[in-house]
Amino acid sequence: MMLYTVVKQNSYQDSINLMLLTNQINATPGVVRSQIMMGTEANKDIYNAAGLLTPEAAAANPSDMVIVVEAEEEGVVETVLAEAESFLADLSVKKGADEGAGTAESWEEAVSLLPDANMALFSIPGEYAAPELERALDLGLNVFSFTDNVPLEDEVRLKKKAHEKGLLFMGPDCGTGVISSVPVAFTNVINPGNIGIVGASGTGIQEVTCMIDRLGGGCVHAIGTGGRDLNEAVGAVTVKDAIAALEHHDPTDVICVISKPPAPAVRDEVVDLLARCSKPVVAIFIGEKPEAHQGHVHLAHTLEECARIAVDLARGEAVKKNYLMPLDLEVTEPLSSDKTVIGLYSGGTLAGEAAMMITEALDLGHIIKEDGYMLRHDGYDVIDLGDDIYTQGRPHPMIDPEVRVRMMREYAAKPTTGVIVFDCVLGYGCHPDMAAELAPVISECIATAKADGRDLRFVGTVVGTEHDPQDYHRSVALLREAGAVMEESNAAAVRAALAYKGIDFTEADRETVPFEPTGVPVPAPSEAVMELLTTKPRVINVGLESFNEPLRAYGAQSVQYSWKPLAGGNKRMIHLLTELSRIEGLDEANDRVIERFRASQPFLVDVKPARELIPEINGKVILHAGPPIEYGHMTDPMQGSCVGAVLFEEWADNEADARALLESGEVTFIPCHHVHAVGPMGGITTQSMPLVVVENRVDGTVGYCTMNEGIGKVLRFGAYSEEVVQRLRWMRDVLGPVLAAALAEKEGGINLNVLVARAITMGDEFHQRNIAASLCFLKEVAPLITALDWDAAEKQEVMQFLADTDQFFLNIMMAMGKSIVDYVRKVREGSIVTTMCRNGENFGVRISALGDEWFCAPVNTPNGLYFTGYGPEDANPDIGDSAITETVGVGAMAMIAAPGVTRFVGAGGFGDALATSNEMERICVAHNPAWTIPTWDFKGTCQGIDIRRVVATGITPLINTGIAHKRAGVGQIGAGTVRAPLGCFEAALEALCASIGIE
Amino acid sequence: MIPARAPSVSFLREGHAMGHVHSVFATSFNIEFSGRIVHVGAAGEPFSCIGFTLDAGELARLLPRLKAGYVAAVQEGILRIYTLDGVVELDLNAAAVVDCACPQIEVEDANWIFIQLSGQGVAEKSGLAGDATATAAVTVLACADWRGEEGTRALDTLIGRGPGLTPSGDDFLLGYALALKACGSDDDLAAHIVRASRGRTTDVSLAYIEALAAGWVNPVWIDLTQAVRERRLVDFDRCVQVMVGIGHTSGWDALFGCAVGFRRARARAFVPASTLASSE
Repeated sequence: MMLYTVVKQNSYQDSINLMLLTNQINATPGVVRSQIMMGTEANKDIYNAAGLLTPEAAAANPSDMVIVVEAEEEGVVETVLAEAESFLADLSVKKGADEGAGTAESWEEAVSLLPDANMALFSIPGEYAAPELERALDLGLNVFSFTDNVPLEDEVRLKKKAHEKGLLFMGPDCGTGVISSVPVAFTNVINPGNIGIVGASGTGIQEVTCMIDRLGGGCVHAIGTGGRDLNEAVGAVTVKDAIAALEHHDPTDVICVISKPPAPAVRDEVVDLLARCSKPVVAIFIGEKPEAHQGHVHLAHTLEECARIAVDLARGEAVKKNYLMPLDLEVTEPLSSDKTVIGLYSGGTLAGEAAMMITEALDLGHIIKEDGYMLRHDGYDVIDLGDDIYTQGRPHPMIDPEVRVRMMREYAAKPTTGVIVFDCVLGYGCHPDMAAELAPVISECIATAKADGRDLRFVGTVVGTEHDPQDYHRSVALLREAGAVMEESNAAAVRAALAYKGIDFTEADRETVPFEPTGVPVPAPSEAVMELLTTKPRVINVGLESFNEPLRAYGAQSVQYSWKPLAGGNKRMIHLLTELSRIEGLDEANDRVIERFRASQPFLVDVKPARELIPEINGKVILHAGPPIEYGHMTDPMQGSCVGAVLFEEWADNEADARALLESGEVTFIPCHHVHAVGPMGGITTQSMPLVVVENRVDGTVGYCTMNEGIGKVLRFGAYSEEVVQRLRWMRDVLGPVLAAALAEKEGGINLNVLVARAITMGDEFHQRNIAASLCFLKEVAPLITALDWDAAEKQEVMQFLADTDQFFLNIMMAMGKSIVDYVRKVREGSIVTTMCRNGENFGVRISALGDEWFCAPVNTPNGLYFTGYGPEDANPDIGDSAITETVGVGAMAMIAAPGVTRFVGAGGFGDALATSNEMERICVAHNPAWTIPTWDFKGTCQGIDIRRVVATGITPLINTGIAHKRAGVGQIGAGTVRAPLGCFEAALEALCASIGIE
Repeated sequence: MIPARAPSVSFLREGHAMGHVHSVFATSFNIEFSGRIVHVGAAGEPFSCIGFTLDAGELARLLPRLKAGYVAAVQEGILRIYTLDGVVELDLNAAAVVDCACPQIEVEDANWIFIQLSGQGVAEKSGLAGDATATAAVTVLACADWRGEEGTRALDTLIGRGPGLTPSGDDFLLGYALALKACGSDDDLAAHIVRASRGRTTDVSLAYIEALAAGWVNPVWIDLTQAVRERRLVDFDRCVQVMVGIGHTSGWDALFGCAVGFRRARARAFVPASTLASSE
């Protein structure tokens, strides 16, 4: 095995690209391992540590690209070179398919995409629905809730609220509707016309509207009210509001109400309201057998009758006394008495109607509703296959025929089954060709029965119109060809089934009895409801994307809100967030917090030894990164940094003694954050270390940080060799004093806001990438240093160090961030994050309202790119105060400013950087207008991480970070990103809520 | 806005009726109410005695939204057409009523018309030209009374004959019956054609003959007879041009029928009543 070296002179490449290239080369056949980096001194340390520092590599200049390959054969080098050329020639990332535009991830986004929305359509799990339904009402939207399983008490409360706000609440469990000729949810396409429908049920509306369409009539509106609206507790709020609206809707000439069995008192209120309407009205209360029409309120027994009466009224014709139409079917030999009628329905209301008619015809008592059975008597079964018992974990039978097919076969095999009655429902949302699914099963069942010497009949109805996506006439024909008797309505189908039993279903003539309504005028509907009924709806669709299809096909506007449950479905967090949303003033408090961020004016004013700045540090005190931690819990690199600090301070002169001292308890450990300081990686700071001093001019709040040591073996990554200690001494004795002297010459110090604003346009994000800011800093201090009356060699060393240390500005940025947040923290209000930091064991968060209180959770381990020879198994858990950069809105929060940083994880490009910044934007409340990012259309950096948004969305801040080896002394082994753990923010939310009395 | 309506659509101002859009064309549409056709055209175009007009721009915007089968409902003069993209509301109450009463003319005027129309070659330009059976039927109607066996057979031959929204045979008969009615004879002919046409011709064709039976004609006929009375040949020719601009051959067919009808009316006028009675 040999090492081969190629040095490409003056061939600068970004370090990230070279890391990616290294990974690719390492996967090339014939390559044992490789490293490709620029020839800087620091990088040579890395080569050396990996055993790859060849003489050629050692001799390379910082601007040379150094390729070192370990391989068995020299010929591999050529392959490597070719690959490298190819890689570097095309650094563009292949993009994936664009996501569609016009999709929102929050209510705010949805409203901004469709500002004049007037309706929200819900199809989300019921357990999470109530707060979202309420949110829609608070936004002034009418509600259509396909969502069911909303608790009754929530329905009562929400409908009351809707009514008071002048909004229509359609649902919950509203399966179908038509608003201004636009089909909504699972529904048929109906010819528009002058009949207005108010319906408490899905297939009830569908059966009536489809019949109306076939009879030549039409509907502009079919307003669904949900199945419980006529419950006593709900009191028919929506039915009444809808009736009032249709009474005042000029194009509606006839009002038709379809209801499930109502509470008696509520029924009477509804009839009274209908009687007060000036327009002709017809109503059906399914299960009720009306003996007479009440005044001008015509009452129907079956859905078909309801449709026929409505059409006659629409034509201005007199209502007939009897609407029973003769059947085409002629039964010469009825089935034997042991044969029964079975109903297998996908529509609940149709099943109810069938059960009612059979019960009446055979005098079986009354219909039931148990385990999906609407009738279960002496072998007569009528089943609603859409009942929850049949749809647990599976699609509804209007979409999935499986359960019905199985039950058809089961019942068909029973000797006592004489007739099976069924429905085939068409329309948006239903199976694309249910008739084709059922037809062969019907044929098969009939043939099997015939082979057994049994007479088995199938009678059915297709609920649909010619305009539906499925082919109505073809559906009827298919089922007929399969051997089913197909009738025009469910009532006719049931009558045909009874005819096979020799039973003639009759209806008595219906007269009209006088009815005196209360005389109170029908209330005037609200403007919002009339606006809904006189325009095409503008809909925020919350849930199933497929619901957009009929909306848009028929002229409505819609925007998709890709809803996810708040807080990942965590009910406790949902409760806290919902309660918190009712508290007034929190947003205003956060606005004031943001103002404090924006008012900050950080200036770099000095460099001084820590002992002159931090009273607490005098003596054997070690400051560390992250929330409080004991020495024994520190990871090895942090302990290694402590060892290095002890040696630097000469509290011990060897490692063993240093460790003994550290373990003895003689040393006090304090978080940097507690003393106006921050520290990168281990953050280890002791009294003699020089700290940059940043002063926030708004009120003099200060922030301190050690200076950046460069890369390679450095204290902050846990190294503690003599070289490290010597460097620290140089920084104490030369770097610090020179910089202090230079800054003393700069009146007022260096304006850091300006420097950051400049550097962010040059591709820095100020955590992983500081090269532009470091250069801008050098530009500021170089003339000052040069002019100093100082030892020329020291000045030269300092200038060279600054020039070589691309990340020098990181530490200044950190101190700057500290000076900002400590100013913000002086007023305790709001839900904004003021501290994020890590100590290798815990991630610590503090928020604006709760001062110094820490909210901690175990840290994550970064994902990223590793230097050759290292991998995730070598990584130290997340560590460092450098997340102060993300806290003030840079670092990963501003990834879009430095897209190349995304390539630390995967091979992301501009798209991923944009996605990251867009994601971070969702958990922040504002943008910083002073730090605008050209690649983000000059949007300012995100400002103000709001814990409410973090918990609600589950999006935690992303942190860009270096990766230390988990063993002290090795140093940095890579760089990547890490997520803050959600637990910190949940704990903070709990505490915030507790502080304002929310349990 | 509805600038004008025919007297025949007065029923739309009374009570409540529901119908459907019957047919939609490039520049007009028809609505059907329980078998009665109502034509809707543009103001400024030739007026139809079975309908009303809309402002041309409004009609042009409306037509693309319409489809046959859409529900139409009228209540006390407010007509609503229910389209998928909204309800169109038209108020008939303020529309001016256009005179569509079938005009009356003297025999010498009928003669004059016959000469003028013959000179325009109406027979050759009619859609029945070249149809030997139709030509034979026309000849019978020119010479014999329609009530006779030959006459009723001739009528029967022409009812619904030919293609188009209004078949050429129907248009001929419309002109023929109109001419006889204008001359004051044979008021029953239009009613007879209505009865014989049911189920055998198009709804639109039937609607026009029904209108004639009720005494209504397209106003261009009124203008034409006025021009005849005053012997204003230029105006006469203009009216003829308006008529022949309708449909493919409908105008020529109707004028042909008209010419034959006026010939028949003229012939009857010079035959003593007793001779007529014995020959018919």
